[in-house]
Amino acid sequence: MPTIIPNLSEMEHDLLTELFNIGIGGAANSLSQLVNQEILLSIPSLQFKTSNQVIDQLGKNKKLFTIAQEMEGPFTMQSLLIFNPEDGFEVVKRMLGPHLSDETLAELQSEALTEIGNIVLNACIAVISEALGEGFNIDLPIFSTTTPEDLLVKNADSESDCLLAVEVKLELKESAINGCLLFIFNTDSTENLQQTLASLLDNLQ
Amino acid sequence: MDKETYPAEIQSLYFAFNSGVFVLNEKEKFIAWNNWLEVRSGLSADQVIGKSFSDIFPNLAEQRIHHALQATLKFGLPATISNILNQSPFPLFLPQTNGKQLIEQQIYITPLTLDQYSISDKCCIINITDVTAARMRENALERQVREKKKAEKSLTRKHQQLQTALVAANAGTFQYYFSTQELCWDDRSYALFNIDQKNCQNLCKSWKSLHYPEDANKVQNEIQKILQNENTDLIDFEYRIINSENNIQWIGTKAIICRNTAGDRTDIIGVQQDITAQKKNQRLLREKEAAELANKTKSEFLANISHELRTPLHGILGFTRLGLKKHETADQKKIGDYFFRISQAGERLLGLLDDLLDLSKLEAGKMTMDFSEHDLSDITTQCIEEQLARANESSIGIKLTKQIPKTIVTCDNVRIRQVITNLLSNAIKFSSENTTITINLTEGLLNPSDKVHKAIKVSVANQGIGIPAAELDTVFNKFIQSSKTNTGAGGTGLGLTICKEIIDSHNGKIWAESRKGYGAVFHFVIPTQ
Repeated sequence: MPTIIPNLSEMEHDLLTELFNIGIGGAANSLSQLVNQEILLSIPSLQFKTSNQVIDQLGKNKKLFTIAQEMEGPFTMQSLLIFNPEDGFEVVKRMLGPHLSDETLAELQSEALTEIGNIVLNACIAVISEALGEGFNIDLPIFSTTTPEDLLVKNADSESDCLLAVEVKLELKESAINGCLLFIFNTDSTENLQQTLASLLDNLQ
Repeated sequence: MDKETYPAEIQSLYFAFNSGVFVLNEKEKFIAWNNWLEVRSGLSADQVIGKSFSDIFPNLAEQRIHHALQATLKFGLPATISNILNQSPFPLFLPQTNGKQLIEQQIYITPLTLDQYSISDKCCIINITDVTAARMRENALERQVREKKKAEKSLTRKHQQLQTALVAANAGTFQYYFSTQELCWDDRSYALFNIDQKNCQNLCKSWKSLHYPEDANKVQNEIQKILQNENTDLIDFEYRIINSENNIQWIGTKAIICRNTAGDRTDIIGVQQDITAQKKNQRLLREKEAAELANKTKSEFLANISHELRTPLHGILGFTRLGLKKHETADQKKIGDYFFRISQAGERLLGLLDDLLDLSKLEAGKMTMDFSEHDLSDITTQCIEEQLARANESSIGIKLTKQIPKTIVTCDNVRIRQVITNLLSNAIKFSSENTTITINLTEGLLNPSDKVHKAIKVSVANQGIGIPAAELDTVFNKFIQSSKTNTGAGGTGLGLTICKEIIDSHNGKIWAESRKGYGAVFHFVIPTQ
């Protein structure tokens, strides 16, 4: 299936990238304070993709840990922090310390990851929300164990399937742990997002 | 906004919550504080409402909870703060612990709009859940897991130690269940017997097929004994197998029988070990000891025999020198006496050398026996006649009694005569003066269970000093003499050894009996055929 590129101008694209960049910078800062160790988050790469492309990228039928927060306002955005279970567990292990057994860590991991997701996602949402100056209703984070298919089919608009995927590599200083940030817009939302970005650009100019 | 303006129905709703709930307005001032919090913080709603967050919780200013609150108030961002990644921030304590046990807190911060109550402020509601019980459960789980792991580690270590010990000892383990009659082996046991574990259909059968034929019954008897005797608790036996290289291999089995609380036997747990090397060592040790003993007895014998040889030689040389010196002056009788003594010593020397030759022939199995039918009674009578003169010198009587009519045996006449003469000569040697030696010919048994083969027993009894009980068996050993020999009776210590060799070659038996003060009796039994 060909990639459907929504009608974002170069300026709009750059603006959105910059917004996420600022947001993720804040996320890295918050996380570093929380776990008291250096955390590196890569520069976000913005790509519009179809559900199938994202499913292929995440791995078909692969088990995933996701922390999701939904944002409703002028447009609807599902924001997700995604880890594969091994990396998710490793994040929790490194944050809670090696003195805990794997059994206990497994018990605690959903709670810990929920909070980590909340911090990272809030940091991004805050920047976007502030920049756009619009009011949003934002839900509390929800942790779940799922597969890429379940995650995306649930959120996808079958008519004109398009996702804005913002990928960020989350890295703890001692070992590379990959996390992925994903922001999903449905078709209407993409249009609304584009309008919102356009009006923001107009105001700036 | 004053506290009076905050809707009472929501206040009362929060009152019913089984968690802590407070509401902050845009200026971070408390506009609600529920009963749950009053109980656990010791602060009443009146003390809190209207005050700012930093007034009530100065220690939390600029902490994560404060930043999260600000983000919620400013951007409407909800937050979750767990006590897993953060220490429980609010000074809330479990009731009835006098402020000693801090409540473990899970905190949710969500934006709150109260437009319907004409409150235009952006507010946030903070919900605090007590997760102390959950944390305690997790701590208990952690403890359990740690203890389990420790136990597993210890068990693994013990198992490894046992395995190492089994490898070092070339041993394997086995278990037999009485209820199912099932025999189980560990990998090492299969390796020990070189039985293919994967293709083994019947372990018992495979095991039994390896038994060394001569030991198969012994092992079977041991097993029967264990299975039938309820009181057996320990098993310890050794047997041989034929290994894959067609060599004999010794196996040692040691096991204990386990019982349930009712005392019934449940299973046998044990170890089977290759003890071939130990057995070889034991044999070598035995051979070494035997060789050392042989060496020692030979040394003793040499010392003894050299003395025995020197005595007659001294006699011969002494009287020869005397004769040489005095043959011109001494009278004929004296010279004759010298010759007699030289001859006597020569005879003794000859006898000694004959004994040595006989023994060496018997030892080497080179003594050929000339078997033919002879009357044992006649042989005995002839021997008595030969020894009578010697006996008379010490006033010793010799009496022959015959309790059976027929005394014909198949034997080597010369050798049996040698035996009787030796026994009679010994009897004379060790008899006290004016006593009688009794020779008894009776029907005898080759062994107590053999009633078929007829045999004749010859018993030679004296009334002398007797033989100490401890020496009754050893008097027949080569180079061994009774300690009573030291009394001056003389002899090489070979006579009885020769007797035993001769009787053995007749398929007979020879033994001694003695009672203190009653002298000694030497018996021998030879088959009539």
